[in-house]
Amino acid sequence: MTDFTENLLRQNAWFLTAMLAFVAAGLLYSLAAVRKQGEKFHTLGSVAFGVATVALLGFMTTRWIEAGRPPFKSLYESLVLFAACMAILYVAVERFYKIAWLGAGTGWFGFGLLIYAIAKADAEIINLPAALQSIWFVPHVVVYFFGYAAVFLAFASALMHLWRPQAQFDVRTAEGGIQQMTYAGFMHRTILLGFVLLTAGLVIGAVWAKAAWGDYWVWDPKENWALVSWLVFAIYLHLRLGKGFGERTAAWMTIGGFATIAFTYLGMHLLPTAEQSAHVYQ
Amino acid sequence: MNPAPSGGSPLPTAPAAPADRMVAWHRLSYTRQGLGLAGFLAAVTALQHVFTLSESPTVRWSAVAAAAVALTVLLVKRGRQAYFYLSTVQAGVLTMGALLVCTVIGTVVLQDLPPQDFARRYGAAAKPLQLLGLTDIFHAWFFRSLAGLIALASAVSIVRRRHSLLKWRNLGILAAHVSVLVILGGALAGAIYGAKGMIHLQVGESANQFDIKPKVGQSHQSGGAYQMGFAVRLDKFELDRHAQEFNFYTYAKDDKGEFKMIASDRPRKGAIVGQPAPGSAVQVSVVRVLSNAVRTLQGARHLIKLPGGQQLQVELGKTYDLADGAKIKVEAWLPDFSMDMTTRTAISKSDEPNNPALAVRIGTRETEVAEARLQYLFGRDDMREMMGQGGHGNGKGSTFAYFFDQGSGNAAWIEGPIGGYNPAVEVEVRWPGSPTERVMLRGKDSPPVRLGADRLLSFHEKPNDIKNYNSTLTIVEAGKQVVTQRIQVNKPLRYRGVDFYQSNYDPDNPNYSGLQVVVDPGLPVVEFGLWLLFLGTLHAVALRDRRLPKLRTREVVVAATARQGELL
Repeated sequence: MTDFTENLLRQNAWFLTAMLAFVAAGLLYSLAAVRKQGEKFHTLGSVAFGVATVALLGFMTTRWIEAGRPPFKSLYESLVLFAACMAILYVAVERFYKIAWLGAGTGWFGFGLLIYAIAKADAEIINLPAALQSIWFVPHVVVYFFGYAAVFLAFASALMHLWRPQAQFDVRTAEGGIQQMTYAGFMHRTILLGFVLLTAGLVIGAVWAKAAWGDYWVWDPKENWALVSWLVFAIYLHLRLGKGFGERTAAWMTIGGFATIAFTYLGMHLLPTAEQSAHVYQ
Repeated sequence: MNPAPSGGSPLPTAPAAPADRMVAWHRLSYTRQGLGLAGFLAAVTALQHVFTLSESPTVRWSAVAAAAVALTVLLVKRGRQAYFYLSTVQAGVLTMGALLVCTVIGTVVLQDLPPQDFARRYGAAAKPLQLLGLTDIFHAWFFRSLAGLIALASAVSIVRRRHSLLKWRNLGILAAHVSVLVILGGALAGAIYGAKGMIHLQVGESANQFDIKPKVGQSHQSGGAYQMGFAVRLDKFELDRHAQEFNFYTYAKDDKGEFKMIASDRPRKGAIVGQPAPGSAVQVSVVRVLSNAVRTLQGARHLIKLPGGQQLQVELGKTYDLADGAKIKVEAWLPDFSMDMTTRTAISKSDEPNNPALAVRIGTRETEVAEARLQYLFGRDDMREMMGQGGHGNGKGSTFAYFFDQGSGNAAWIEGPIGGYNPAVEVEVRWPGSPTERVMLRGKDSPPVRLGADRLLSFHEKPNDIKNYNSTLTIVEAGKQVVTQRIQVNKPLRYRGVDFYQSNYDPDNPNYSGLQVVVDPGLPVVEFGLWLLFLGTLHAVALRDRRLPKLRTREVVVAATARQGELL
């Protein structure tokens, strides 16, 4: 625990601001969700996500300059990036979808990511190894973390759907009208977004691997699990076309898909085959 | 999913098809479909074992012939059903599900280990795992058959829905499924026509062929040599290092009682640095930063006795010519030499000349003086004797000897040449209730400062790891030098379809470079397929069409024989 406290004290103002902003977003959206007249809290909550976005972009910019390389190398840095992608995506989502419970979930999740980042804080800035010095590094990582963020929203919607399958909320359409939507409907949209981003990440990764090693695919454990999580959603998209694929099944499958992604991101060191992987966080 | 009908119930006879005993496979439960697929893959695995384990060509090829006959019979009797089934959503889900399961197994079971390691790791389970083909799953025949089935299912789906898929709103879905064929086709081309291997070169050497790495799982095929038709020569090998950096590092004792680095700070004037132990109110702030600190005593003289017997008076930071093209560079002076056990570096325990030592580099005609190893020459008689310097002892030590003449002046730290050997920081250490203390911390040779119980602050160099590996290669074709290019990790050289990747180096041999060589005509095909997959997916999702492209009317009639409806 002293390690955690010491790491916390070492975080800069950008980081701490983002952490507080996530807490504020979590609280405000929770209030918006439970109150009948929650509009005010809702608006304040989205401002909090805006603050978190600015603070995390500030954090990453300063760290990029200080490190002299993109700040996406260590687990700590990637957790910050994940939190930033979460906040940015939610600011974008908020323009069309006013879903208080998802705002609350995202706020608390972003806070959780930063708490975990503190626990895993770097003792020093690590140099970028040769294999990562590539123009593909930034797009590969950023696209993946936006994909993870989209899948998190799908996961949160799936939980909400299981809890309140009938609940509906307002969606602003592109033409400016208002439409009703269920959690299951929103879940499907975020899966579509996530699937495109996961596909992009996979493709960029393969193209990069070829430039670095001469192979598109080497059956590295992380590659394999990226394929597994991609397949879960590819199967989901196919199953949807058949009959008898209910929203409940879809929700459970989304939860499973999020679990595979969480494992792909954080669980690689648990695998016996991790020794030979090029992707395991130290 | 689908309510499972009881087994393969025969379907109503359709007028257009000889389908008296046609079973709608996709209407079976996923468990039954899965068992069917598993049976097929098991048969493939059995064939692989017979083919690879048997020494007799007769046995091997009869097994292949038997499999071919079985497949032909299956296709004749059930070809139409199979064709129909492959275009269903169920077939797509099942094959992708099987790929998912295999991929997971490939990360849980260790892959492609030497047999004795398997036996040690898995004991009695090693044999069954091997028999099931799970120990090298991604090269197993059944896995390749599965890839083939996925390609086939994609192809049949495309063909059977071609009219609908060619509409604009379905083009993305078409592209995504075509991309599966393109990627797998490219990979197949690479597997058949490609070759891969390593070329190990010393500077000046060249090679025009490489040993083909035997493809895994193909123990019957020897690799052989691949003739490139031209030669590749290694002109130069260079390591890039990250810029030299000196930082403050805080070390704390961990549970095992060992000091572990827990935090670092960049040296900036005015910064508060270090992470004191909890409850310890010590504060360390940076007063000034010196690019190269040199300790001198006014009037002191540093004398080096050369192997020939003559004496050389030297100044810190300067380089001197010796006989035979050799040079000596004097990097630093440590007044009180000692070894620090935390950081395992040479330090000066104090500023008093108790154990004076000179840090020097001695370059020869072959070695640049700046690249030469740093060594210490000791000024005290007993130290010289112990280290065997100046002709003392067993002759293993340096033939140079250092003599220190203290003089009478005051000691002072001055700034030496910029970019020099020993960057330093002067810090103020404040303990509550004690007078402020000023300490000079040199990057190369200062002992750490205490920051309370079990905690130290050290100023030293950041581990200077390698940034990149560079090989300058020249392609020589028909006696002519065609191309010269510097390659590094992530920047390969391609010449006439042969790609050279920087892949290996030897820390003990600066003239060696290892190149991975890849000949793969399928690579551009795969790359095209990958981007097609992405663009197709993007298009499909942007149009957000959840409906399955409709079957053509005539096809729907055929499908009706297999209880149309499940297909949409």
